[in-house]
Amino acid sequence: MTDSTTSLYTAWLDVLPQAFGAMVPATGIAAAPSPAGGPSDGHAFPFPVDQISAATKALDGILTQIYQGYLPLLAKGGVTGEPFKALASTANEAFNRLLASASTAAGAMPALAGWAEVTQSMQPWTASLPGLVPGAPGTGPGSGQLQLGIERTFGGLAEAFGLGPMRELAQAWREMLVAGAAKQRAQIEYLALVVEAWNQGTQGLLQELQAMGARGERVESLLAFIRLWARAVDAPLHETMQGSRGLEVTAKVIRAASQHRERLQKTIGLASEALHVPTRKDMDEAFREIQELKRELRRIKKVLPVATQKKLTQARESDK
Amino acid sequence: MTHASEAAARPVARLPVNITPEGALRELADLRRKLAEGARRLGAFTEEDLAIATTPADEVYREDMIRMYRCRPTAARRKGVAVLIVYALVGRYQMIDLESDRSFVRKLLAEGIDVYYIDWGNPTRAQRWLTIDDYVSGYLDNCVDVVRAREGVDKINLMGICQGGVFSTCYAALFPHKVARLMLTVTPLDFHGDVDTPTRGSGYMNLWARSLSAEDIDRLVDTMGNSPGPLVGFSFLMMNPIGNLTKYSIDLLDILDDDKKLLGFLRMERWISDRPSNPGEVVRQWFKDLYQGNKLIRNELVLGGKTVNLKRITMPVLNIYAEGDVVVPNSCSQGMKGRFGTKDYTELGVPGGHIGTFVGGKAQKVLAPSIVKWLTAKRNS
Repeated sequence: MTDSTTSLYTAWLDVLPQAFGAMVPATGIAAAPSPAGGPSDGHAFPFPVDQISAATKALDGILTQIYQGYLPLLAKGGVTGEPFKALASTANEAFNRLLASASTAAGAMPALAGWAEVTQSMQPWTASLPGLVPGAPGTGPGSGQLQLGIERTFGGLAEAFGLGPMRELAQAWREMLVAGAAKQRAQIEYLALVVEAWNQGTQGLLQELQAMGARGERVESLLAFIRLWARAVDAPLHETMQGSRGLEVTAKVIRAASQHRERLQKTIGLASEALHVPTRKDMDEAFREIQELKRELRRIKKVLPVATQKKLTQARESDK
Repeated sequence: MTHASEAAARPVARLPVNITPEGALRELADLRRKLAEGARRLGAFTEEDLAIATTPADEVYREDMIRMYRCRPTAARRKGVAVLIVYALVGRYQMIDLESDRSFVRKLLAEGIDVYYIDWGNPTRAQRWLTIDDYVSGYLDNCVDVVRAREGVDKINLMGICQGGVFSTCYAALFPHKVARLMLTVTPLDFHGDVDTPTRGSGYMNLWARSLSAEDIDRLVDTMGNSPGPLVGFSFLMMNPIGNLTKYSIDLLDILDDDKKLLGFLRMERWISDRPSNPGEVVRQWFKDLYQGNKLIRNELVLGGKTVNLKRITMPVLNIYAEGDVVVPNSCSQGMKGRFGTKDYTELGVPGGHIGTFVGGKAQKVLAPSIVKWLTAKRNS
């Protein structure tokens, strides 16, 4: 078992509370608590017992939240479709707001949700490059311009003496941040489409329930209700994500993520070059050369027995 | 009356939900008890309980990160030429031997078939430049040569699974003199077969790959190097997001009180989560030449400077597809008669999905016996 084997569980189990949180009318799209470690914390259990234990723990929290969320509705003596319609509408509005704020991301990144945390996490870096990063704190009025001027002068000097590609690095850093914002926007767009499909599923659930009512059938347990809901969401989700818009936003996420990665690698490459540390490109080249040599060796090995045989035959014939 | 007042005056329809608050609380208490009991059961399992691929086998060849094993025969009498099983790079070979009572390999051994299989291992960053040709004309050819030498035969039987089926097809076309019979299972051959017959919930990888530009794929490979295993795993999860959400949540409630089902689930999870990284150049070629270019079926795929021509496959071919396969749509693997050079072509649909074909209860009764019957019949004829 490696980190990469377990990492997918961590990521996927984190999605569970978010998804099931969307089934709780009383709390809207608020998430249930994330799964904590498995019951075997501190003990070595065979893989994937810990991961599945974490899933059961998460399910415990999810079910508790869902059941508690429905109690007020059930106490009223019956469930209507209104809370579910309201839930769908709230989710749509939340994503529309998020998308609207993300639309301005390239020009004004601080407006993007979560930007404050990003800025804060970059504090140690931005502090060393004042005035260069959008949203980075300055030290007073006009300080950004002053620092930019200093960087231009001394950055240029540093470059002239081969001490470091300061300007190039700063530019790469800016491009990386812009690409990061674009990635975030693509992810929000993707999620908005998922929510839209989910809401179609909720509409389908209500229709199915009405049809059940007409047939004289009843949902007798909340678990059955949740299962019915999950089934109702499945078809529209597939249809949406396999449709042209779904494929378009998926491609957009992949494109934006790899563009961000490309900018990140460029930044790190420049920093590595400045510090005389082998870059990813250097390593790739070395690996490529090794692979080509191995390929050549394989070809030689394949033909060697034939060539050796011929040589031996020739030697034998010349002896005669 | 306005629309708003009309709506307000309309009686609110009650949904047919017949649950009382007390009933809901009782149900919750029951479910939580079940979860607690399930957690206790989970904690009692040992490493031995969860072991997969336990059929005794010996390593007979190794090169770089790959290993080839020969399963220890279990039948008193051996039937025909040995079979070399070639699995995909996106998963691990253990799927063919998941549990002792649902092991495809054990079934072949019990019928007297001599079985070899390749473990492709875990490519590291250093192996990012490996191409499909390195696998086919390099590793696979070396493995075939070892089996030929060990068995003292010119030709062996080759069986490919999914991506391994594509590798085996390419191999059989490039080295037909070393292959006695070719068996393909759940193998995509016509990568555009699904274009005219899209099916809901099926063929996501085909759709995703075609929705990207060649430039997107190049950037993806250039920036990632190898395609990390978890990314491949995530792609599989996203092919059925709701199914995979319920699988790790409410569906657990159906198996937590059944040791056999729970063990089956855990063993499958152990296999499914173990996804090796895929060499970048293989990914590039796979996406651009196959998913996008559909070059295999068009006889345009070039490996190591040689064109893969399916017409050179003149040995008997058995092509098995899974009737419920959503990873490789049936339209991509079915109806291949006339595409190969052979006149001895058999196509067979088996129940189950892409993986269920090998581990599902129904499919277990069909797959191995069908293969043995085909191998034996051909030998006798």
